[in-house]
Amino acid sequence: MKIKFKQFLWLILVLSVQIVAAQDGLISGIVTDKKGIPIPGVNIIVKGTKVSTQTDFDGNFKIAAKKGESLVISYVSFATVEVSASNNMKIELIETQNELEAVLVVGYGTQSKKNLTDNIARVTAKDIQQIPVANVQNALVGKLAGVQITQTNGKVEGGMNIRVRGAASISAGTQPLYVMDGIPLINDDESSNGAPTNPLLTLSPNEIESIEVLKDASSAAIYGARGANGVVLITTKKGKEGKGTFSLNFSQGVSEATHKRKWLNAKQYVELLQEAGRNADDLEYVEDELEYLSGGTDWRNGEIDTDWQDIAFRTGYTTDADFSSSGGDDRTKYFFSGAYNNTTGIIDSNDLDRITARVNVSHKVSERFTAGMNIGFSRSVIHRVQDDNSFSTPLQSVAQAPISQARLADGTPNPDTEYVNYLLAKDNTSWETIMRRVTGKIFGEVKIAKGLKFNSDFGYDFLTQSEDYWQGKNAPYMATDGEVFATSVNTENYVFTNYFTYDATFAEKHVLNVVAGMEFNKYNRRYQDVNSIYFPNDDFHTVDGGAEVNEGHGSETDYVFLSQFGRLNYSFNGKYLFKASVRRDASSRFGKDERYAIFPAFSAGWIMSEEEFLKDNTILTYLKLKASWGQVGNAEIGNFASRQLYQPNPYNLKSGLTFQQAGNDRLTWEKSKQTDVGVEVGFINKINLEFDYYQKITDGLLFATPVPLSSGASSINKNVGDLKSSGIEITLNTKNIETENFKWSTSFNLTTNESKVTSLPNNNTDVITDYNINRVGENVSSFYLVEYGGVDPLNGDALFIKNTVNPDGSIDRSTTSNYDEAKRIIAGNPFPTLMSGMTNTLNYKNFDLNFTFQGEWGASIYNSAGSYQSSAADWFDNQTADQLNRWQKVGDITDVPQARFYQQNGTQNSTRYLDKADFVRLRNLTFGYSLPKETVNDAGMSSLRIYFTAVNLVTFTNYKGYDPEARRDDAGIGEDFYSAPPAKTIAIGVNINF
Amino acid sequence: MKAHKLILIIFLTAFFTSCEDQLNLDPKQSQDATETLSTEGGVTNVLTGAYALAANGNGYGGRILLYADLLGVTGAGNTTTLEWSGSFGELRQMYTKNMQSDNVIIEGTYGRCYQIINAANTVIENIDKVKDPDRQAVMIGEANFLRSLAYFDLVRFFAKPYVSGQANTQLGVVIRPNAIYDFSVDLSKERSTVDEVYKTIIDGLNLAYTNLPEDNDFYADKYAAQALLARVYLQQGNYAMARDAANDVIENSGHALSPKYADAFNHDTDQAEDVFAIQITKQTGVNDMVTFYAAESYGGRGGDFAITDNYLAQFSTPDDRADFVYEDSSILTSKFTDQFADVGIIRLAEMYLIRAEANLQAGTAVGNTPLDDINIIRTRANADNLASVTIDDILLERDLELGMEGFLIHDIKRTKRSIDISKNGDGSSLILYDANRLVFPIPLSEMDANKLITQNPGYSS
Repeated sequence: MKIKFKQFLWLILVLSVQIVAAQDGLISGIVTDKKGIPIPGVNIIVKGTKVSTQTDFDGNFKIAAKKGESLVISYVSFATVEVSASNNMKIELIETQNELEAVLVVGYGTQSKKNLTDNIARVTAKDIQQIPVANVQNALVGKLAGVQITQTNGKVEGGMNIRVRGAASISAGTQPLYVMDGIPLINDDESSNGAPTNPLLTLSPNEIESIEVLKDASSAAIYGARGANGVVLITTKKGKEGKGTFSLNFSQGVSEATHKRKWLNAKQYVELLQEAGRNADDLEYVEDELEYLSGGTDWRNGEIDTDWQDIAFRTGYTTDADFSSSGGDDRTKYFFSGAYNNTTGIIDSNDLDRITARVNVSHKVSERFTAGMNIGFSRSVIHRVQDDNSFSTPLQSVAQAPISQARLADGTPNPDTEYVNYLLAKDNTSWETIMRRVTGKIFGEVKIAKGLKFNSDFGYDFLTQSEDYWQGKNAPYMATDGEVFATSVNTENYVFTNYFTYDATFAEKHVLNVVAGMEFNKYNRRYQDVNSIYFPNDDFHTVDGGAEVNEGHGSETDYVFLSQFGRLNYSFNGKYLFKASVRRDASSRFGKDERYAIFPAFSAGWIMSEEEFLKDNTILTYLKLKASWGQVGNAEIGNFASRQLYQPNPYNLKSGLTFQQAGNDRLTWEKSKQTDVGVEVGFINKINLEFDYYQKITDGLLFATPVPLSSGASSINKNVGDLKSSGIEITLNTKNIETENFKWSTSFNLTTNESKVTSLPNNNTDVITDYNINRVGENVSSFYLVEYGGVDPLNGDALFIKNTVNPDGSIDRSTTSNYDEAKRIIAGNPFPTLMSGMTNTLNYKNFDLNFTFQGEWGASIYNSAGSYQSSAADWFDNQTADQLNRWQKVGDITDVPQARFYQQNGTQNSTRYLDKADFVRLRNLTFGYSLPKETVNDAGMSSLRIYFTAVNLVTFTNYKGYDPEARRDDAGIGEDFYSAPPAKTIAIGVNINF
Repeated sequence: MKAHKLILIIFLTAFFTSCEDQLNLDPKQSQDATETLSTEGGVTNVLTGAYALAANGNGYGGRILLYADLLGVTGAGNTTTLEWSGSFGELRQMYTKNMQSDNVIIEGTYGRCYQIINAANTVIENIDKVKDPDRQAVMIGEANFLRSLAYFDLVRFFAKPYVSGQANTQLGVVIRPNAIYDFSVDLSKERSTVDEVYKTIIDGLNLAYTNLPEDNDFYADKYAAQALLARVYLQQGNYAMARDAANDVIENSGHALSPKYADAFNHDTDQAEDVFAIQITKQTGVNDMVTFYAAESYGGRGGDFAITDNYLAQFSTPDDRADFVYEDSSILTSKFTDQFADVGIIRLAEMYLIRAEANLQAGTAVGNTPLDDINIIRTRANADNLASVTIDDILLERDLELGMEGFLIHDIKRTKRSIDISKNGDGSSLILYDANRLVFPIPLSEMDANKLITQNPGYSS
């Protein structure tokens, strides 16, 4: 009977049906936390009425209620209590960290964790704030089971790679769909210098309330053709009823490279080069060049000893300053914030300066109708260096001879170096990229009838990026007295979403939630660039300064998605959960015949702990079994991938057309079937364990299938090939200690992933690109290299293992010094097979400590620069210090071959330059101290906390290169090519709340 | 309440209907192939586009010429006439005659040549869209010229050399007799023989000669086809045909030697001496000769391929050609100092050299005596006239006149000379003209996708 009454009240509340309440008598009281500190802004409602109020700044409240009436007292992250009204009430709220009560954002709605049958990983504001990294994605590393987050390398604007539960694709997009407050975010890399920029750099962590990653098909299928790589839902902060709050945060940090490599000094360099020259009977030539490289200095006695690496790296700095203010009453709620970030990168000439702001407002126009608007804008200025494959990028200067001066006596860059001196680029060029972004939406919610509401959102995302590349008269390779290249690209995306939500409960036991709606999404991208040459002098940095505008481009492209979707959640008796969803997508990206597809998903859960036999178990406090199946798609195949196309290709100022793309009328989206089986267990309300097994089977993989080059094309897009990605995920949250003064909790996650190719085009023909292969039965994009066999102790020859097939079918493992006799083999995996993260949070009185360890195992990195930098002086490039271990005399046992100048002794591509990239790192650590309340209250603040925080503080790895997270940014999979390591940053900061 | 719902439903219905139309989008920077090939303008543009393909750096914008000299010089410290110090490992492999089948620069050129071939085939097969029969003839001529040009470089680099007086059944390159429109089928094909490839080249050039006008602006004309034929015949050791073709160009084309040697280079429109040149503008095409031969101040990489004293020592004094160099960090040729200049493919001086050599070999004096032809070339360079010529004199003269213009390895192969890579040129380490090491590997990507093709000897697949 009681339950029924409660449900009834709840319904009334939700539907906001007006009931007139009697108003006689005033009840007053105070709400505090366990320590007796008053809590402002607590919601108090007289149960069964719409009479409500909030506590004031000192936690006091007054409400029109009769003695004995029930008051419902609620506040975010505190357990809701119900007490009967009396005079001078003293109400103590207890903080809840109960995961199960958490409300998660799902597509087009929200759902409690308890009733969830999906697999969704989540972080909230407190998990990501104050980590001194310039982009939000980097703050998530190690905190989400099943989500691998890797920044390409240590440049401040570096591209991000996020893989949700391994690969769902090989050549179509592999990045998840980002949706912020219902708006699919533009996530195009608009860089034109070869290395990517991260378009989501425009987001500031301080405006984010939570990030949910929809990992399985059950949750992601509501995003249909765009859900296969997972969906990242970003929810921005909203105002809450109650006294307005104002908070400030300021931090300042310093950073340096996580790791530097050891290179030869001048003496070692000369020794090795001379030896290499002698061994190749070419000493004279070598010494002539050393003479040239030394610029006439005494190179034989080490007059000049330049540490080029030291010049390329520098100490970085970070400054973060942000504020936010929020509040509201029962009709209007507001949140606004602003943030500033300045990051001086660890790579010379690379920095970022960003300002962001946001306002989120909602207003209850009437009991039926609520409207609001969210809008955020940001401006990010990035000074960039060239991509990793460019001679004038700072880190390529490690190839320069240490006997060459970096700068001449007059301070100008030394022009006579082995490769172009990047300092010429530093002094005479600049690359400025500015990203400007406005993202916002207006929305309305109408309560149509009991349990039924209608939402309409119009969202708009606008990203404009400009690039200005100036090269002065003395820039490298300059023959036109200066050159300016300017680009501008405007990308807009608007989405119009309309959906109905219906909530109802029948006969107490049947709880139903139904969502049905449509969405229209249109994208447009317009690009222009122009180049001008012949400048009067170096003061002119815009196109107008040039005498001749010699090149220009302009292009435009669009796509449209038109979708209908529906979802049904049904639970019986709070024990049996069922969910079904479907989305029908149509897109301009696909040929007319393949334009529509339907993406269904089903899931079910059983909360066993609600059953009679477990209900009163005090040890096993929660037990849920769940399973899901669904189908999602990947539409990231380019806008016109199916068409056979010609493109303009003029000749001598006459128009021309050239074959561009081989067409395939049958091309359609990749479809991924995903299955998830999981169990959630809670012990004594302190230990929560989630265990999931997942499997993604993607068929119809889109492949740029190689065709013989002699056909005049290089590839054709085909839906061929299957991929299977599977693994387990474990999340373990424990409250280790919970006493009044000391709290310690741990969150641990572990993910395994294996992504295997199960079928390929042309009867499973291997697809080989550079150092990677896709072969049936092997990991996606496995390394495919000749196997290095060490060094012949007799003569110092580099050896390779033949790996040819003998007539009897066995593999010939003998070695050869003839590279051409050796066959390539599957040599490693560019992606980890095991990932783990562990976060500990400790609070002792006013101190707080939080640290996250992150580890990855199973991946390898191929250093394609190895044949230049670890070649035992095959050429004049400076060498890694380990090359000093070269073979010198008969009997030497080493894996560095004899130094032979220009003889390619072992410098061919082989596993010699492949290395395991396993690592564990202390990803971040934050230590804070909050000043006693009394002290700060006197100063007009409600809290003041000072903190120390660090990123990438310690890394444990045997990887020989710069860093397991330094990968080539212009091309390649799992490849290192003069790529920058990430930054290790430490910062101190202060938070103040008013 | 009901009115609200009704409005909503009407609104949504209207919205959905209008949205469906929005799904029909066309690319704005590209055109469907069927559309391109259905109009006269489209087919005409595909022909111009074929020239544009040729004007790429890894095509006739320079690298095809560069390879011939990289492969041709000894690369040995004390004897090499040109010295490579560039950082591109792929090009260095050519310099050391140590190519790998995964060499992406070789792959780029291989693919580029076949793009030109398929574009040419496409023009030929869709010529019916062009209404004017005269225009049709010219376009067929140009397409055949470009196709033969591409096959000629493919067969010279990717196959064992043509040996005069033999059957030449050694593997040449893949011949694609028809345009390819459907790439979804298996396009595997074995290489044809060298003989068959040469036949295709010569047939194409003869057809081009027949169809093309005497003057065709900067596009290939009759005499461009004839000049290329002269070069092809010379490569085959067919001296009589080479002589007659070269003579035809000299006598009838209206081309003339530039008054001064320097005038033959670094210009952005065809000069009298240019029989055929790839047009480079600031907007289109890439001059990769400048990239690899020029100083940074001329837009090059700083002189990746530099002249040594060994080269200069071959000149007698005076000779303008020996002085047509400049010093940067090394001695660089002045032939390529304008990054927006056209890349000469055939200039008239070559025809004199061909006629001289062919007359000498055939024991004839068609058009002129070999000695007079050589002296015409030398006089223009202000070098002293020779009193007599031998075949070695003519071959040397070719190197002096045409050095760094993409002839060296092909001349070595057709004259069956060896490359002496021993340090001091003592003959202790010779690479024979038909060595495996002087033939490019079939690119690995072709090997991977073409199930019927055979790799060149000495290379892994």
